[in-house]
Amino acid sequence: MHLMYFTEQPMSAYPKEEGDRYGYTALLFPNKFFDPVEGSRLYNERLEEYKLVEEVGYDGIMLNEHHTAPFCMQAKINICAAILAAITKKVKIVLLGNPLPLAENPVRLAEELAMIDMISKGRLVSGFVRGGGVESLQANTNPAFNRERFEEAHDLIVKTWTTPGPWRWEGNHYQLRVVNPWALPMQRPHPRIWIPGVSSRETIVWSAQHRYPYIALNLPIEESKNVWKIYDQVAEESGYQAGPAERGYLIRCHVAETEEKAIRNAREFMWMQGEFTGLTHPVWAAPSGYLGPWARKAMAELRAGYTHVRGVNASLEKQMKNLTLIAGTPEQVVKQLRIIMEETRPGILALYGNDGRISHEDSKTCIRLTGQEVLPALREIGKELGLESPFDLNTPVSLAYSNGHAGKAAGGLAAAS
Amino acid sequence: MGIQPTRGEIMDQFLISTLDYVRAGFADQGKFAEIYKERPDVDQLVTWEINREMSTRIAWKPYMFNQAMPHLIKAVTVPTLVVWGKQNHVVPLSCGERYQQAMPKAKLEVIDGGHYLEAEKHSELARLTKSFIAAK
Repeated sequence: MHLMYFTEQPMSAYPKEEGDRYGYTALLFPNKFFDPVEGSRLYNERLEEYKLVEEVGYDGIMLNEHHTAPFCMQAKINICAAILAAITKKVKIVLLGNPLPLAENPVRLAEELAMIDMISKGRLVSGFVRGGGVESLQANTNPAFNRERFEEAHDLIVKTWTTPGPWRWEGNHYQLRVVNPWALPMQRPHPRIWIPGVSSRETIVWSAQHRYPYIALNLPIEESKNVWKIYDQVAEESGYQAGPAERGYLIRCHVAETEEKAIRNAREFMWMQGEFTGLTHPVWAAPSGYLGPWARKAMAELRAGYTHVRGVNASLEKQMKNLTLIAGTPEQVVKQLRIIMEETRPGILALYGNDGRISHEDSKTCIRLTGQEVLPALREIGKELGLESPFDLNTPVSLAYSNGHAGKAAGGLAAAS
Repeated sequence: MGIQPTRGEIMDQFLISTLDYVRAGFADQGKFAEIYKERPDVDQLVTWEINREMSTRIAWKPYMFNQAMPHLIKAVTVPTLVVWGKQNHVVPLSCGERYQQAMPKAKLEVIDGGHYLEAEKHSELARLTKSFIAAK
């Protein structure tokens, strides 16, 4: 199993009542409520927590990036990744991920990622995302071309990492006169690429077609099973058999010394009005063209206020009941995580430990208890259930480097020599 | 693609629903309801959505204007009538003024109404057009 720690790095010092008053906490929510002094404190506390994450035995630290919203302070994922590359020694630095369509020059991203990989001595996992609708709006990148840009930027980055320069790229969205960066990743053929998502069929299919592990973000068990049904079918059509090494799962999971304290802290996961990405306008969440034609009618009704998203503001109790949020003592959370592991069989598991206003001390307690008592138990369960990670199996980094079957294969990772 | 305003901004349709955007184009909300009903049908919403997807593709950035436009329309030397709604909250009057200034023989008429004069003030627009053509 590959076990990772995650937090959204919330700007929890913003005044929540203002979010309630505005009715949204993204894009047009004024940044006068951002306090840089508190921001400085929070960034530094997170870095201290990440060092502890490594000390207590996690395998990886998962990072992400969002913009113009208090729920996530990471405006540039590669900055935090570069810091972690220098201050940690063993953990994988798992970026889930760089929002590719926002990039105006993907080769520059390829260079930044290569630097992170070299500084960390080959510990980078370079996930990619499309970026949310809010990101399209704030970066002013056309949502109608979001998926095209994602795919072209991906192709360009992989080629940059694997094809010696100089060469020229004349694409639909990116044109580069000379591609010949003097920064290349240490891992060969290239760093692993993982793709996180919240069940968009196109992304699941694309990930499976490339044999990139898909990381299901906090979905209910039944929805996760639907994801794997699609993934497994596309994998079979693509000539390989998918298994736990292609399956990742992120779950909110807070651990404390007592159940009472854990649940009290877990209420902080509801800090963004019940949605961990905060309140947003349906137009901003998925601007026109961002989703395929299949979503047109439903989105038209939603944007006009004729319908509403189901499940928004579900109570903590309801979320705990359907196992999309876990909180308790180490023993309690292991029991619940076992259910998820048995039902959905992920080889990659990310524990989203802390959010909202959970204090620095309680965050560290959560990390420490998880490392000391939860992770060893999960590793045992993983062994029992045969949940092996891409690292355990040294799986190919992609279908392009696969010999067509699961398990050890040509194209698994090696440090460049 | 239109012309960049010198005063004000073109209302950003990509930040609001199609329903709110079309409503904003009418000075007279009664007229909106007469054409589309108080609560437009879902089919109408879908049509607006398809239109917006095309606007996204062609007018995302720069938003709804072409910086070459003032230079290009200098070549329009025929008599031209520009009609603008006084209560147009979608595209500022400064755009109408720029059209008029850029085209040597353009005339600007500002009348009561919103952005969709052809729907909201069709009789007045037809009257202005007929008299403009008759005068030439």
